[in-house]
This record gives sequence, C-alpha cells and structure tokens, in this order.
Amino acid sequence: MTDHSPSELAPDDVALIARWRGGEERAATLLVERHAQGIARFIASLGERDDVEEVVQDTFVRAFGSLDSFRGESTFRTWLLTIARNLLRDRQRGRKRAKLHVEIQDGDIVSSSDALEGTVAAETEQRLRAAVETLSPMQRSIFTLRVTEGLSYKEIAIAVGSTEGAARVHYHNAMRAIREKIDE
Amino acid sequence: MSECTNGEMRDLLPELVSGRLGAEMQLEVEAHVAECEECAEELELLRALRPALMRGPAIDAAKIAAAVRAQLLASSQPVRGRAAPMWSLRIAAAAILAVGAIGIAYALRGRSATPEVAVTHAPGAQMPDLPVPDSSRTAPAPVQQVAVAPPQAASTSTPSVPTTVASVGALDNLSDLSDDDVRTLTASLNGMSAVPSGEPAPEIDPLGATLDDQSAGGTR
Repeated sequence: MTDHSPSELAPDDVALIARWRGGEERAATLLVERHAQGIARFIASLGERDDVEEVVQDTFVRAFGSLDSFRGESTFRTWLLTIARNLLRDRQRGRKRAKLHVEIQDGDIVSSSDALEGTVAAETEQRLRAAVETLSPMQRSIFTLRVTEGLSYKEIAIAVGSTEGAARVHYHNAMRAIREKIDE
Repeated sequence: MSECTNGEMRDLLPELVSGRLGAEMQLEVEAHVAECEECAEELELLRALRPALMRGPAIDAAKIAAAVRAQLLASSQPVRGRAAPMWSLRIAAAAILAVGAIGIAYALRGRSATPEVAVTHAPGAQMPDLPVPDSSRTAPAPVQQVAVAPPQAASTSTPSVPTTVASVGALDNLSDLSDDDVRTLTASLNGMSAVPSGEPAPEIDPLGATLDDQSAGGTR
C-alpha cells in the first residue's frame, strides 16, 4: 500500500524531464528548485555539515549529465537521492577520515534556532532535534526521508542502498530511540 | 496506553504527516488514529518532529540551478537535441573506417612502388631514403603536392634530370608516394572532422560518470 508508482507520485517530474530533453532549459531549473532542499536535508542527515550546497550542486550536474540512464523505474527524487549518497560517500572517502561527520557540532542546534530562542517552541524543537541527532547516520537518514519526504520504504531502500525490510526496521528503531530520548 | 494492532495503518503515519496519501487513504488512516491511542501519540510526535527536520541546511536553490546550468554548458553537454542520432554516429564511424582503409591501401601500394619511381625519374641519381622536405629546392612544393625530386646536389650534377611532382589532389599517381608521404596524408585526413558540422557531437558525460542502471552516482 505504501509503494506508489513513480508516475502517480511525480508526474510533474516526468513532464519536466521530457521538457528539458526537448530543450527547455527552464525545466532543469524547476527540477533543481523543487528537489534541492530535500537533497540538502538528506545530505545533512547523513552527517555532512560543510559542503552540503556543493554536494547538492554536484548531484544535479551528474544527474542531468546522465539523464539518459534514468529509465523512470524509480522516482526522479529517489534517483537524485541515490546520486547524492554516492557522491557524499566518495567525498567522505576522499577526506580519508576514519570517522565521518556524524556528530552534530554543539553550535549547530542553537544557531539554527536562534530566532526562536527563549520560546517554548524553540526548546521543544531543540529537544527533538537533539533526539534525532542521537540516531546513527543510517537511522537518521531513513527517518528523515520517511518523515520529511514521505518516501516509502521501497524508495528509501533504493536511496540509501539497503533493503526495504532493513529500512522499515531502521525507521521503527529510530522512532523508539527518539521516544526514549524525549522521555528521559 | 493501548498498543496498535494495525501495523499497516501505523506504517502510513509518516505519509499522512508529509501529505503523500490520497484523499481516500488519508481518511482511512485518520479514522484509525482516532481510535488508536498509540498511533495518535506517534502522529503527534511526528507532527512535532517534521518542522524540526524540515529546517535543514540553508541553501540557495536558485543559485544552485544557475551553477548547474553553467556547468552543463561549460562541459559541452548539449542541452538541445541531446542524443546524437544513431545514423550520424554510423556515418562518422563509416567515414573513419573508409579513411583508415584508404590509408592502409595506399601505404601498401606506395611501399611496392617506391623503387619504381627511383628508376624511372632519377636514373643515375641518388634517391633519398626518406623524402624529407628540403627548403632549398628551387621549386617549393605546394601543399597538396609531394615532391620526389632528388636532392639539390644530385640535381646540380645532372641538370637534365627533370623534377617530378606527384599530384595528390587529383588522386593520380598516388602509387608514387612513399610510406612517409602516405602516413602524412593519412594523418591529415584522420585529423578532419568525420561528423557533419550540422550534427550534434556525440554525447559526452561532463563528469565522466558511468552509471549502472538506475543506481546512478559515484562508485558503488
């Protein structure tokens, strides 16, 4: 029931891709503007802090440069997420760091909530974000994709390079971990 | 709190929060949530989490879009008429093969004909092993002509020996060409564009990416 046909969910993407293939450059811009933020959230959920925008840009450059290999078997968004993940992995390997950027830096939560600081809403959001940050990168990325993008487990499995069953387990473990953290 | 016994409905809570459910399914899930305490609590938590998660890193999508377009243009990725038609690729391949075949054929013919040229046109004169262009010749060779005259010293001693010039442009006497002449000619032919100028060049991946099926991206 949660597995939706790509054409049902993203007919606009398919149409925009066709328009871009037909030479309409504006279609590419629309696709970028539509998906860039979601890609950025996904990249951040995987632990990237410094070069999110650059990875997003590289993702679209590679996607448009390889669009002929996109056969529409997954949604365009899922395909973009897959490219983003692979690019990020290559980038992190290139850094040759033993530990990936998984820990959130102390200042991040506070700085992103500055505008709401002092309010109850800000405190609640900060607590929730802190709970999410305790998740493993895999749990966090799957949970983020599920809650922000509403992706099915099948789509998530493609995006993160896992299985549908594993994605489901990661999601539920993440939910349980967040609950426990909040209840502390 | 009563535990949820309908895992299917519970699984759809994220879709409900993100607005990805159809109208009918949305009503069904909402009806379940109204009766399920655990799902109601989870839905409340998801609705609280979503804004926090949505507040991702600040990026400028318009700027990214402009940069992407610039990179695609800079990498010669054709935006219009993206895929080169198969027939144009076939023409290009056929042209390259034809040029190569002609070059090989004349190279073979030229190799066997070289001694004949020396006997016919320069009796008693020393033919050079290689027809190295000599700028001191009295009659400079045009671009499309290959001079096979003997060296200057030989000409001086035997002024009656005519200077022989093989015309390449007319494609006659090509058998008079030596191996190096043929190689030079073949190289210049190979250097010519084999794709009609009005056709788009074969598509080139700007980043040199090779993508396996739908799992595109970097190395897997």
